[in-house]
Amino acid sequence: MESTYQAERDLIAEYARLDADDPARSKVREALIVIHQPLVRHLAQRYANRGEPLDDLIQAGSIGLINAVDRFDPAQSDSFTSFAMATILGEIRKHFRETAWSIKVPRRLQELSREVNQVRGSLEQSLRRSPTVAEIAQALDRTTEDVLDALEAAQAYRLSSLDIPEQPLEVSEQDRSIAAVLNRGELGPALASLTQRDRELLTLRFVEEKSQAQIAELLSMEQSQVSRQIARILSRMRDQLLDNH
Amino acid sequence: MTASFEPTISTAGSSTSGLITLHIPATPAHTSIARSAVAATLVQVGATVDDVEDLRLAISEACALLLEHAAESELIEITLDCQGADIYLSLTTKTTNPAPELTASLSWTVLTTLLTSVESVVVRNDELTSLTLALKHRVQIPR
Repeated sequence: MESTYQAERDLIAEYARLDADDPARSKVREALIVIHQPLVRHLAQRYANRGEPLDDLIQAGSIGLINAVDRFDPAQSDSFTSFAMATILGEIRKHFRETAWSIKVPRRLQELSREVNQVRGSLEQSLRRSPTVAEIAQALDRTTEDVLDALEAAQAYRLSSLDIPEQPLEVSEQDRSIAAVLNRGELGPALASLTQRDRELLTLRFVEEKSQAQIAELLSMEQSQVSRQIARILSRMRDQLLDNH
Repeated sequence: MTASFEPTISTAGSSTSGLITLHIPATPAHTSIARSAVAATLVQVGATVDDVEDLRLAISEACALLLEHAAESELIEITLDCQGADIYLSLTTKTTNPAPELTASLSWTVLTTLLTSVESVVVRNDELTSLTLALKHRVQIPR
């Protein structure tokens, strides 16, 4: 392990030292790409059970790796591996953004899902409450089964794409506190991927032990919105834990 | 009982109240059947889309929790009882673990955050322990 690490450092240093038109540079570049292929495979496998073929994920990740090799600047960053991980995950994420809908969900459901979301929003405004499934169906001249299918499809899409981190994440003290209270030390990275608003909700509820009603008042939300939001954050983190196992 | 067991659904009652019983193999692939059955029933009682999504999430979490413990080739029995705006859900499976720990899981936290009440019932038998999650949720039914 030590020697692999040293070999990597030597290659990176050599790559940075060689001029762009030096023929030796392309050999070093190739070697860097080859020794980091296992990292691409490892990261791709973490997202392999989301309806995308593993080979496609590896291919997307490999593009990220090549970009990482070409863009890495040792003067700016110590660790090539951290830099490469961010770039590889970025490409895998981009691949999901561009293709996950079309592969996992038929086009007619994608379109219907968008329509359902629009109508749901406008009905919420006019009714001042969440609409029923029948009300959405009526507004769209569709069946309630169609609306349920569209809601399920939207859920599948959210699960497949949105929880892939943009970059390697640093686990903050606040994240560690939440993980400790939930008795889940391994939640650290999942917590680090949350928005500040979501993190604040979890801190108020589990670290400061405020009731849902107190949080609702503090953040000017409905209590039902507080419980919904916290439940969804936790559920999403559970999915991430499963993926990482 | 094997994993190839076909899911079964039985229903009783009127369109605004009634009891549904569903048996699914205790595998992740079958939880979508439970989610769909519960969602379709909530549409029948006129629940809002927020409540439909909440209970669909609750079913996913409850099944995930039971799947962690369910004995191989076991089933999950799900009963859904709609009493007006009060929805009672019960999920039962069998486990070889004589003392399954449920409350330390993330799924448990999700359920207790989301629903009106959550209880677990563990009944030890000779070989297999029966494990039940009893969930209650009050939904909004616009007039």
